[in-house]
Formats: sequence, structure tokens, C-alpha cells
Amino acid sequence: MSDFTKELYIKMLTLAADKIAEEHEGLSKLDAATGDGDHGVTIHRTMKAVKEAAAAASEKPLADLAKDVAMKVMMCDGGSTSPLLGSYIMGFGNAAPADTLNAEQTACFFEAALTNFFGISKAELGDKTMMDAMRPATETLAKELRAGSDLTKSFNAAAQAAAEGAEKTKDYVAKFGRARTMGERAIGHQDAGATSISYIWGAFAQACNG
Amino acid sequence: MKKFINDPNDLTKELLLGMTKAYPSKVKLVEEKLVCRAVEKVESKVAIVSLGGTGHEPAVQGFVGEGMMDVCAAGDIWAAPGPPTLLSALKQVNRDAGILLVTLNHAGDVMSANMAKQMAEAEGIKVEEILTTEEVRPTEDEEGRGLGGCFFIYKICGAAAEQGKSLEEVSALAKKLNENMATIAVLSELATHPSTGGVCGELGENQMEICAGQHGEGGGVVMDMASSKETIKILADKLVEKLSLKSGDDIICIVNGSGKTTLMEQYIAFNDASEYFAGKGINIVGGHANEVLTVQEAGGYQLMVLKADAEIKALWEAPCDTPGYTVK
Repeated sequence: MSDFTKELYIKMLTLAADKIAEEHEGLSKLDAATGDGDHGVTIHRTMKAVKEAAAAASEKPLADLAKDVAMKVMMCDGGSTSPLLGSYIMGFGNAAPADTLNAEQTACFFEAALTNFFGISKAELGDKTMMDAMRPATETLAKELRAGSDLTKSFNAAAQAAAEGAEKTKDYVAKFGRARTMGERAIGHQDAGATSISYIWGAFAQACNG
Repeated sequence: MKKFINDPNDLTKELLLGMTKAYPSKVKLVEEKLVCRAVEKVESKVAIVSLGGTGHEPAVQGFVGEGMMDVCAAGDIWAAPGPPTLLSALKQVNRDAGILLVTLNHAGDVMSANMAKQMAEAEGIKVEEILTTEEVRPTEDEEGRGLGGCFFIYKICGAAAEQGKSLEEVSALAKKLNENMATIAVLSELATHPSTGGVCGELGENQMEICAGQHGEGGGVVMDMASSKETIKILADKLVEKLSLKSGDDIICIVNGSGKTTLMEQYIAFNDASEYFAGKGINIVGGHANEVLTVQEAGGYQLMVLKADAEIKALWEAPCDTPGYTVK
């Protein structure tokens, strides 16, 4: 696969929503260890809205589709998940010059989403948040694409980076969200938000794999 | 989990319908998630808007009504509303007199409030925000969350707005309240999330957690259960230290049950608190012992103190009429 298409983007979002639907109970259990135990509920509701909104807007240009999805996500009333994922997807909408993107445009598309996400999250690597999976995944993707790797290889490498990033959150003390007051006691627990993001990137890769 | 509910996905929708149907003379529901005053406040007065997750009843939407809040943007169980819901709330009471937005310091609420405030200002809506951070943490360098203290802001700033104070004055008052209030939570039994039935946190059979925050996020100091009097001493010592209270000071004191702790226990705790403060020469000039902000069936309570001057005391005693709190 070489060019990134709108159809592939919709497939990615759909598979990501399906993966979260399968895993949401486990995500709530992860969250119960360091948070209030509802991450699975909110991410499930949010991703369900993503899938529905993407299907509803499938005839629109990629930029408008992403903006529609983002608005629906923000309307989910899902605590921090709504503004975080909503602004992430809004970032896609700001960087979609066409419905088919070349390698450089695809890298910029995902980097723009990360930039918007950071604007709301403010989290750095090691803060035990979604960012610990999101940033390495995006940076790996952009690096692979710019080095000439095809979409499948690039997204598989990105998914791998997301999974490793989520795994590393076990070693971190939380600086944000409800887990931040746990201090050292949060060590050993994998962050639920980072885990969700790694599942989402895993689904992105799966969409490329066929 | 044994709860009298219907579809777990409809908890918020149904509870908001129920609350507004139970108190139609005080509140009404607009757009599914906005709880508004049944009779709107005149436009020449500052409006008070807040946001928050549900499942904490009566907080926060239960404090909409005359003399307190004008509109509350409700989220979902323990989850803040998204920015568009809050933006709708701000639009609902857009006025030249301006709006005081009360945000409790929790990640989701803060993000939604920041985005909604930016969008509102872009549309020319006049908003000042107060972020409540009054929670006492185990160490000083940790920033406190917003716990039940929002109640003081709704009540006292609500009364000031009702008297026709300007946005500048109401906003300055909100800052003064946030600086002069402190809340400490004790948790004796864990809450379950009403959608999932999952238990939130970990706590031993005969243990309690001091500085437990809102939902049982952990991070407090775990110790063996103690008597009411002993527990009050542990909690009140921290509040006295945080607010530098001394003999002769006036305070408003609230025991805010978390859900499972009975009114009997809350009254016993209030009695112990009143003896504790009397022993230090600190005068309780206003009080309340009842559920303000709950966390389902969590055991325990929040001890809330606000240092009061004549202005605060007068506004505390002003009338209000909401589903969650009424002063005649």
C-alpha cells in the first residue's frame, strides 16, 4: 500500500472502535487500580461515536469528515477523554488537503493530530498518560514514512511503538489525572489511557494489514 | 452490585429527568444535559454556571435554583461534560452582566472548561472562571482537587450575584472563598461505578483512608478505623493548619456525607467537630450536616471549613431554593 486514502482512515477508525468495544471491561479494571474505574466506559462510548460519525460522514471530504467525528467525540461528555480525543481528531481535520495523501502528507496528517492533542493534554513522555503511547507511535510513523517505508510497515512499526510506550507506563509515577495523587503506589500499574491508545494504533496497523 | 436502575447507559438521562420532575418549581431540563433554573434570573445580574459529572447527587446539578447556580452542564457518571455541552450552558445565560464559571479541579473538567471558555469568548460571551482547589493533600506540594467546596462558591457567590454585585466583585469573592476554604475527605468503604459495577480502589476491612479525594482514587493515608471523635481530630487538625485558623476566628463548617455514611454518623461527626473547634476558641457561625457531594455508596465524609468574615456570613444566610439546599 502506498497512498493513504479516506477509505483507509474510516477503516482504521472503525477497527479501533471495534477493538475498544472488545477490551473496554479490561480497561475499566486497569483504571480502577489508579483512577476511578470508568476509563473503559468513557473510551467505549467515545469510540462508538467515532465509528458512527465516520460512517455518517463517509461521503464528505476527509477534512470535513474528521471535523464531524471530532465534534461528535466532544459531545460524548466523557470526562477528559472527550476533549483529548476530540482535539486529536480535530487535528486530522486541520491537515487533510485531499482525500488521498502521499507519504509526507500522511506524516503531517498524524503529526497535526498529535500537536492538537498535546495542546489539550500538556502531558510529556513519562507522565503516565495517553501521551506515552501517542507520541512514540506518531513519531515512529512519521519517521518510517519519511524513510520511504510503505504504509503497512510504517503503521506496524508505529503500533509496536505504541504498545511499548503503554507497557512502559508501569514504571511511571502519574503527573496528571486522578492517578497523580497516588505517587509511587501507581508504579506497577499500566496506565489505562495509554493502553487504549495502543489498542487504537494496533487497529490502525490492522487496517493496513488487510 | 444491587442498585435499582434500568439500562446502565441511561443513568444520567433518567436521573436528570427525575430530579427536574421532582422539583419543577425550582429547576427545568434543557437539551437533555443542561439543568436550568425554573424561573430565570434577570439579565442584569451575573449568572453562575458550573459543570460536572453525575453520580455525585445532589452535587453539582442539584444546586441549580434561586440564590445559587443558574445553569449546570451535566456530564455522565463521574465524567465531565464535553466542551460543546458546557458551551451550550454558557450560551443559555449569555448576558452583558457576565458569567462566573465554577470549575472543580479534575482533569476532564479543567480541559472541557478551558476549551468551552475559549469558544465562548470567541463568540463574545463574557466569562470569568474560578477553579476550586481546596482539597487538603497529604503533602503541601500537591495541588488540591476541587471537592465539596464548590458548594460554598455556589451558595455565597450565588447570593452575591442575586444582590446585583458585578462580575468583577463576584469573581473576586470566588477567589477569596477558594483561598479561605479547605476540605478533607475520609473514606471508610469503597464506591462502585454504577454503570460497570466495578469497585473503585482498595481498602482493607478495618481501614480508613484520610485525604482520599473524591472517588477513591487512592493516594491518601491509610490507617485503622477510629472513633468519630478521633477521626474528626485528625481531619480538623489538617484544616486548622491549612487555613491557619486561630482562636477568635469564625468559620462555616460542613459535614458532607459520601453516600453510605448515615445522617446519624454525620450529626455525630458535626457534634465532635463543634466540640473540637470550641476547644480551640474557633466559632462555628454557620453549619450544615448532610450529603452535599456524594460518591454512590462510598463510606465516609468530607469535612469542609470556610473561614468567614461578616460579608461571607451574611451571604451564607441569604435565601436560596434548590433541589439540594434551601434557606428560607
